[in-house]
Amino acid sequence: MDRILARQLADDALDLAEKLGASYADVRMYLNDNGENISVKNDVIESVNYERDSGMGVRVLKNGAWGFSSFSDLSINRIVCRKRLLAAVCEAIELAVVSARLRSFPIELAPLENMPLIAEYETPHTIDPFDIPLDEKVNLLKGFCSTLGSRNDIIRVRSSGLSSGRFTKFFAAQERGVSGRRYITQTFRACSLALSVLAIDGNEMQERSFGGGQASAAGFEHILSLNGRELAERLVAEVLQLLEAKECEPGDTDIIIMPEHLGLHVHEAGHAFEGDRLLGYEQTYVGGTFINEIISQIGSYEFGSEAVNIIADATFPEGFGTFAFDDEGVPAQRFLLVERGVIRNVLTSRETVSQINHRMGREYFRASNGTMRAASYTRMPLIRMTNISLLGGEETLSRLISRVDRGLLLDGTQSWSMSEDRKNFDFGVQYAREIRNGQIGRVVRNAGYTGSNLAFWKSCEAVAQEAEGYTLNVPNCGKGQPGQIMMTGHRAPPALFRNVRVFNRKKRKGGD
Amino acid sequence: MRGKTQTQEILSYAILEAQKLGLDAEALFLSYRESTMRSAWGQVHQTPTANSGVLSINLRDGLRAASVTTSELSRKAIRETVKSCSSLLRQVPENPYLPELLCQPDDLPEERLSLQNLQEFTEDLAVKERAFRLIEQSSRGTSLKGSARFFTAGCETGVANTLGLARYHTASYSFLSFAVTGDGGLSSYSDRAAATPDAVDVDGAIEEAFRRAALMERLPFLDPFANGARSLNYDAVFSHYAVGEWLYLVSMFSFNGLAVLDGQSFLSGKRIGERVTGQDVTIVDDWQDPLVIPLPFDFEGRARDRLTILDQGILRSVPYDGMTAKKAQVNSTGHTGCMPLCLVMSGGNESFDDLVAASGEPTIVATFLNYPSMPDAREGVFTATTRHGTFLVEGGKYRAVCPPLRLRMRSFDALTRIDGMTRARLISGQENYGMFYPKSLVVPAMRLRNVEFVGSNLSI
Repeated sequence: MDRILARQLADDALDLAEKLGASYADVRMYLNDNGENISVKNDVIESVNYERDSGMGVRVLKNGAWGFSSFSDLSINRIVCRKRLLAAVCEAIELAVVSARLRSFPIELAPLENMPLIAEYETPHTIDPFDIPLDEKVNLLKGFCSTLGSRNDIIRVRSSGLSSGRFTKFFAAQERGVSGRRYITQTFRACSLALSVLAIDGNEMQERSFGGGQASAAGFEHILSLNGRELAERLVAEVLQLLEAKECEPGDTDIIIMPEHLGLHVHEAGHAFEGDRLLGYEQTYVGGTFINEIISQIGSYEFGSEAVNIIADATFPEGFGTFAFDDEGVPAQRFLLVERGVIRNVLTSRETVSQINHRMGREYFRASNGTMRAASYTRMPLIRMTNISLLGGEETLSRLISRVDRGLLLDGTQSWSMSEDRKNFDFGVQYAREIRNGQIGRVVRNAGYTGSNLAFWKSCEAVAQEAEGYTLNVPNCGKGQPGQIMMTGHRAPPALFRNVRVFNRKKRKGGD
Repeated sequence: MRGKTQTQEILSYAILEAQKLGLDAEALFLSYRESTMRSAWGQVHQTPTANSGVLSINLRDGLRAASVTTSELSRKAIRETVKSCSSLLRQVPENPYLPELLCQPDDLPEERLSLQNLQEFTEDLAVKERAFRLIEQSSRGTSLKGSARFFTAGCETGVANTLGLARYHTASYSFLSFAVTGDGGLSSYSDRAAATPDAVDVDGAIEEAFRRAALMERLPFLDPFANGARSLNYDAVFSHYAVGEWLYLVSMFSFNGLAVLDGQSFLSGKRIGERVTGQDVTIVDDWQDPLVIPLPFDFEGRARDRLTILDQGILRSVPYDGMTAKKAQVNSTGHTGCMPLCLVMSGGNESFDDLVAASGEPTIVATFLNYPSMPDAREGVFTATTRHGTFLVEGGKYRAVCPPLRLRMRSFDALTRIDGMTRARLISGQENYGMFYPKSLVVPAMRLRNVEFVGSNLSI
């Protein structure tokens, strides 16, 4: 569907919504959503899959309640498409009317600030991944897979995979009391290289991989910039070391967490800052947040040490949580969630601002900070993390290591779990090294660490500098009912935490 | 939702276009209509509906295969999809594990395919409104707040290929989940599932969640880890919900045929006929069990076997799809993704109250397990935090309400320590993250001896 037709249809839908009494309405169209996944396992191309999707969703606010309806397939002719769209408007209105009867107060939208009427955005890129011939991608992946296979007697599974995505989202909205309609077109791109290796020696099984892949909101130039062979060689070397490594000894110790895993810890803790969790929106599924217990102290509550600065940045280059406008048309923003250990902000949307202020007992938030995103046209937007990152400090990794008398350096995500209020955590890691007297020592296997986020972030003594950071782009963050998979980004440098509880994730006894 | 005739037209057209290019092909059409009403603390805040369908075309040329998936279903779009898929196919190397296309086997009589035809539920909005009013009325006059999700969906699956296979099936599903929250972290939960919205036991869900919440309000608070303990072993009673969360993960990581073949599962290296759990454990994947949402065939069109995975603790089989079966040199069991999607665990005859009353030793009662994870799949090590009601029971009596507790256990060891079970019932499948496709978990509540808890949620 071309953009002129998209706008005409959107206008027809907004006209009808206005006529039917909606105080706010938006139409979100996915004009051409494309994905490509290629996977190679043990040198065999196991799957080559191309995906193409299109559809639209309509959200209306009437009588102070939301209604939402959606349908797929924009390849149908214009007349049928218009008919379906107008039927969706009517259904959304009907749902809003029923919903309004089931609320005791109306939803209020925070005001829009500095909102353009027409805007466009496109992920910066130099090479569109869909312009690269398939055989070139296949050869690249086969080469990486082959590099992973230096010890075929022990290495049981070697896999490489490439995922590419590109989609154009058109958004149109109107609102009672706001002059003019808003039209926003955004085209997103992303590429990811996945490598993993699994080795078995006797009864010992060990894995190394890159959690979420080496991913970027960029074009194929990202894949070409990676030294895939070197990454593969590193994974092979480490997985073979793990087969011979000493078991992780349970106990309390100092840990340095490397960025490829720390990004995931920041991600899981970051869920606590989602404003809808402060309002019970996720009680039937992913849960609430400990911030509910200290909600009146947002702005002053000490969550971490002075070394901890966590930022929400929807403008971060190459992050999976980067965009120009969220799915309410609010511009992307950059703000601190945690400043020198103190909680300054949470992630908000237009409807949650007044409700959170009400719960806090003061007018702390003025406008949405632009975090509403939907996973597809079939879903209503939710508050989602953008790029939630731990800011760099003054240290270097080598100086962090030199500070530790006895501890562990942890790398590579194996498993993750967190309590619904985001206090208690439990992570398994793939690869660890002893630190003794400020020096890196032996390889340690089967390590995990657990504790309470409230103590953990206060135990953060120092963070390495930004230049030693890594951006973990998460392709599959789950939330909402019906479920929504979202892309988020998390940059983190290595960081030192004191006196953290570690465990053996195979529940084996420690020692040599 | 397109209906049988239109689904078959879509599939036939895709197959015809492939045949015009001289290629073999398999086509899968999945379509659904779903509708959700969701409330937070008594306020309905979301009512999304979706109507969507996706066609997957898999083109073959000998041992080479490529797939294109599209939601664009006009004839022109299908024609272009087949064409672009054939372009991909020319560049794809051979895959020695590519399964053969299935001929139409006579293994699924029509009456079985019609076991659960889609049940229309045009009044679902009215049913939901009544349910949410009931929920709101139940909280009135209390300090408790109810949050609910009422989901209804119908889906259809069609498979066809160039060898003449053609299959079609529909299913419908309705599900209510209900959380009650209150002061001091109080949280209770219940859920109910049925084929149609009006068959969902709304009253039962409300009664169960409020009964547990009332118990939590009445009991004193006790954190077993308040004295700094690092690890505590208790007997435990897991509700149906807790068992479901646990066994879903076990089925995903351990009963998965691909994980077994790759060496990632606890069952890797185990022999068929070998004992892997206690004799109380019988687990099957049975799409014809009266409690599950039937799924008679997989995405290749192969009839789904009734698969006995564990028979009184003895390993009998694991699920395979076509490609994994070929690698393992066994027959496919008709399980796309090698996952059991109609998992049924045999239960016992005790009531939940019986399980609690039988607790002579201090026992933790866990209603729900949040964010389950497997720190080590090969060893079947499982962790999660309890949620929605964690209780300490002594002498068969509820003594205290506890904060959420983290547990860590070897799953297959724990399955040797079952000490009583209730009858099994259908609980929620896992959350639907896109194309709705029902997954059934029919599990009992159970009592387990000697479960290790490793920490609690600290109060601020």
